[in-house]
Amino acid sequence: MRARALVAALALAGAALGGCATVGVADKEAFSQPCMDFDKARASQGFVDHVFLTQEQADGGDGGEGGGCGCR
Amino acid sequence: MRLPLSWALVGSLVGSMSAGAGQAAALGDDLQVQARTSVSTYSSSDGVQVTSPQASVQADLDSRTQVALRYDVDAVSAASFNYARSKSHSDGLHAVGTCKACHSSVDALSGASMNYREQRQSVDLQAQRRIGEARASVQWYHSGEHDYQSDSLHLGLDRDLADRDATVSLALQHGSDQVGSTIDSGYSGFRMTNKGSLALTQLLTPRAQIRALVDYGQEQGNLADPYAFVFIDSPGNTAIPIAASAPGLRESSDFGVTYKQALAGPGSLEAGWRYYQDDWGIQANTLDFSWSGQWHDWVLEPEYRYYTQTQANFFKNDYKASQQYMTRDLKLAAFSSHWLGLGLRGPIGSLFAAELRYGHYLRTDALDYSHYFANGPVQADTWQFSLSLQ
Repeated sequence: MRARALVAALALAGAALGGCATVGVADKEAFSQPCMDFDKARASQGFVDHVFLTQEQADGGDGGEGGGCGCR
Repeated sequence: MRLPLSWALVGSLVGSMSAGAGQAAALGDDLQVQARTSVSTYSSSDGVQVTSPQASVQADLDSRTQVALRYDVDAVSAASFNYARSKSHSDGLHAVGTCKACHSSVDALSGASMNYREQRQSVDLQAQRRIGEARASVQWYHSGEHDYQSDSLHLGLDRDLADRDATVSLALQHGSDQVGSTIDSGYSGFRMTNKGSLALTQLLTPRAQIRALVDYGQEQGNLADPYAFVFIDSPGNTAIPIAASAPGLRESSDFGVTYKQALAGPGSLEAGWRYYQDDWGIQANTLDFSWSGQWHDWVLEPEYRYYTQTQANFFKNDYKASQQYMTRDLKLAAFSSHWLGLGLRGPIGSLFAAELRYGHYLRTDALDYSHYFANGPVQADTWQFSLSLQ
C-alpha cells in the first residue's frame, strides 16, 4: 500500500518537474563534470555502501548488492 | 598469510595495469579501455578487519556498446573475543574465562562470529548498449564464501526525454542466495530477492539537477541469521540458546530525492534524503551532504551522512518469554549512525588517476551491551586507495 503511495508520489514529482524550464544544449557544460553525474560519482562508493549494508537494515534504493559476509 | 596474499594480488593488478598502459595506445579508435584497481580496508571497534583488493576493466567496444568486469576479494578476520577476559554471567554460577565450556566460537547473542578468518570473492559482469535515446543494460553478480553463495541478475533501461533534460530509469533485480552455517553442517537455507526501482533525473537550471527514486523489494526464504541466537531470561531458566527466528517474507519500499548543484568553478554540492519502510516495522531516514571542489589539479570531496532507524517489531534486547519471532540482531534494533568521509582524487602523470578516501562510521543507540560480546555501539574506520588507467 505504501509502495503504491510512493509510486504515486514519484509520478506527481515527475509531473511537477516536467514543467521546469528546458536547458539548452549550449548551457549543459556544467553537467559534463564527473562530480555532476549521479552514477559516476558512485563508482568508488561500492565498498562504503557495503559497510552500510552490513550495519543497517535499509539497504534498498542505492544499488547495494546483496549477499556476502553471511551478513544478510 | 592473509595480508601478504591480498597485497600480492594488488601488486599483480597494478603490474597488469602498467603493462596495459602500453597496450592502450595500440588500440583502435573504436575500442576504448579503462582499468581500475583499488584496495580498501575496514577496521571496527568490535574487532572485525577487512582488506579488500579490487580490479575492474571497462571497455567501449564501439560508440554504443560498453562492457565492464569487476573482481573483488574481501579478506575478513574477527578477533574481538578473548575467552580469558570475557564477560561473566550475572547469576554468579559462571566464572570469568570459562565461556568456552558452554559456547562455541560463535557469538550466540549478537549473531556475529567471534574469532574467524574467511575470504569472500565476487565477480560483476555488465553490458550496456545505447539504442536511440535509450540505454539497455544487463548485469550478473556472483558472491561466494564458505557459508554463503549469492547470485543476482539486474536488468536496466534508461531513456532520455525532452532534449535530454530528463532521464527515466527502470531497473529490475532478481537474486537467489544459498545460506550455510559453519556451526551446523546440516543447515541449508535459501533466500530469494526481487527488487524494482523507478528513477527520474531532471535538469532544473543550467547548473542544477534533481533525481527522485522509488524502490520496491521483496525478500523471502530463511531470513533469520543462522548464527543468531536469543536467550529467554526468566527465573529458573537454564539459559539455553534458542535460534533467532524471523518471518519468511519481508516487503520494503523506499523513496529518495537527491539534488546536485554545480559550483561557479569546477565542483558541486549534493544533498540527499531517503525514506525507507518495511513490513517488519522498520522505518529509516537517511540524510547526506557532500561537496566536491577543485584544489590545484586535485578534487577534494568531504561528505557527511546521517542515518536513523526504528526497531523491528519483534526485536528485543532481553526476552522474558518465548514468542513466534525473536531476534537480538543489532541491525534490527533502533539506532542512529553518523558517517564522515573525505576523498582526494587527481591525475598522476598523463596515464593514471589516483583516489584516496577515508571514512569514519559511528553508531549510537540505547541498548544494554551486557548482553553482547561487544562493549558498546560499533565504530569503524575505512581507507580506500585506487589507481585508474585512463
